[in-house]
Amino acid sequence: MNGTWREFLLPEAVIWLALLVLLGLTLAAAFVLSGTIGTTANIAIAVAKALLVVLFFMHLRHSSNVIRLASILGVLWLGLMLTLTIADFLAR
Amino acid sequence: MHDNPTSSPFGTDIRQRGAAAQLGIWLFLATEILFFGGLFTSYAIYRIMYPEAFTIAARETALWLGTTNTAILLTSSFAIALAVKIERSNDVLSGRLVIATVLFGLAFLVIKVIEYAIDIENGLVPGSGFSLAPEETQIFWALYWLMTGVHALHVIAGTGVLTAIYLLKRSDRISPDSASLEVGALYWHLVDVIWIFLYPILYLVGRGA
Repeated sequence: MNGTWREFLLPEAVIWLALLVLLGLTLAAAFVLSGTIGTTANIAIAVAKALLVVLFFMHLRHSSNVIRLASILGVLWLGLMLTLTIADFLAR
Repeated sequence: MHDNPTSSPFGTDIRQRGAAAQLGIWLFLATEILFFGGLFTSYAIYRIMYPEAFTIAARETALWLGTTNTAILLTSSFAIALAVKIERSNDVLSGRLVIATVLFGLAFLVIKVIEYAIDIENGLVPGSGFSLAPEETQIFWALYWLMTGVHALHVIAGTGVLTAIYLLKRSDRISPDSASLEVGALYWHLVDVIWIFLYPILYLVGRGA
C-alpha cells in the first residue's frame, strides 16, 4: 500500500466527508429552521446525500445506460405513487 | 454456486453475466424503493393530515441515537465501497473492509435495540399505555415502529449477505471474477439510502425554534 493510500482512499473519502458535512448541516437546519422551509431544506439535503451515495458509491455515474434506466424507473414509479396519492388525497 | 460458464442461463461471457447480475440487483433495488415508498407515502399523507400531532410526536424520538446511527451507516457505505474498489487488487484488505461494514451494521442494530428500549420505557408504543396526546400522535409512532423495524430487518439481511459473501470468498467457493461482492454492496448502499430519508422525517421534525 506504500504511496498508494491516496489512490486507495480518493475519491471515496471525499464523498464520505461530504456526506458527514451534509449530516451536520441537516442537523443544524433542524434546529434553526422550522415549518415548511425546514422540511424542504432537510428533504433537499437528504436528496443530495442520496445522490452522492448512488452516483459515487453505487457507481451509477459510470454505469451503462441500461442500469441507469433501471434506477431512474424505480425513482420514477415512486414519484408517481407519491404524486398521485397526495393529489388524490388533497382533492377530496 | 458454481461459476461454471456453461451452466449459466445468462450467457457464457463472465462480463455479460456480471452485467446481468448488475441489472438484476438494480431491478430488485427498484422494487425495494417501491416497497418502502408505500410507507413513505403513508407518512406523507398522515403528516399532511395531522401536522401538529406529528410535530409533537416526533420530538420524542431519540435524536442523538438516530444521528449516530446515520453516521454509522454513511461510514459503512464508505467501507463497502472501498472493499469493492480493491476487490481484485488487494483481496485481504477488501475482506477486512467487508468485516468492518458488517461490524458497522451490527453497531447500528445494537443502538437500535437500545433506542427501542428507551422508546418503550417512555410509553411510545401505540395502544394502551401510550404516553402522548393528542391521539393522532400514535399514527406517527406506529409509522416509526413500522418503518424503522422493516429497515432494521433489511440491515440484518444485508449484514447476513455480506457475511456470507465474505465467508464464501475466503473459502474460495466464489470465483474471484464473481460479481457477488458488488451486488451485495449495492444492496447495502440502498439500505443506507433508505435510512438517509428515514432520518430527517423521523428525527428532525419539530426541533426548530
